[in-house]
Amino acid sequence: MAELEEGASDASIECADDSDPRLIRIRGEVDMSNVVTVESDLTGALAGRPPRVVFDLSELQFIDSSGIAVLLRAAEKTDSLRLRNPSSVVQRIIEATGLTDVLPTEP
Amino acid sequence: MIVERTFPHAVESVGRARRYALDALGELPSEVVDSVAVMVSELATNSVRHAASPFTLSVDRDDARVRIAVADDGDRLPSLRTPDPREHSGRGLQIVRALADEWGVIENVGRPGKTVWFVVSIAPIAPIARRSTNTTEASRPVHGASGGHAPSGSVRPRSTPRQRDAQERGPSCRARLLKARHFG
Repeated sequence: MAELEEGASDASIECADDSDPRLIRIRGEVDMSNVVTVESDLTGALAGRPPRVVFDLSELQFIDSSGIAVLLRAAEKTDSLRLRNPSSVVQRIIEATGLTDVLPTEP
Repeated sequence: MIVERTFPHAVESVGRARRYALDALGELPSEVVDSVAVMVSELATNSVRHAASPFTLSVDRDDARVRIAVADDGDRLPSLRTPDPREHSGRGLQIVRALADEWGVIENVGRPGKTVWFVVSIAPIAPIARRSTNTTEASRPVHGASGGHAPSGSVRPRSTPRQRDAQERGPSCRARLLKARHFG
């Protein structure tokens, strides 16, 4: 998770792909500088179109609208997506942008 | 305290500007830090996406509030949109409007470019190191296409501090510590 001072933001995607729902952990920071990589990683993690997916955001340190857009595209690759442990600011962003139905938090 | 730095027109500048702002602001309540980080990122992203110039980030803080501004030479003024949930972009200013106490756009006069700014009040419960800062209101632009709703100095109710004790949460993916790209 070391971050290069002058480079893109750093994130990693981890996945237990034999679980149902498929648990995908997003760590680090997601912004415009690394959305392409993150989206590519997430697309891999969503291979086979799992019917149910949980994005664990416990260790997501930062996300902005560029990253939210990646989550929205990921939501189209499953029938049911839930967020686990979004931070309060992430919850505020999702509410403010009217995306609570598309990116709901786990009950 | 007012500091500023100019960042090149590059995607990497988004995170660098965010980290610069947080470093410059020093200790603040986590809700303020998190909100400011997102809004700096949104304004920097808008600049990189829509302007062809470097952008200058200015960070101004006193005991009561944080004021951030991002200026560039782009002549396209940002627009506040309300995208449909199926749309994948256009939410930057919507987020700034939600998280800021005030925000606005100041168009340059006589030359291309604009400044997009926001203000966040610092909740009084914050353990803030007191400092004697002379706030120079006269130097601050007082007009522009302000879209802010809250009056200056207001303190919006903050949600409870987030809890991020990740170690004790949730099932682990350690069974397969693989980056997704390796098995996609």
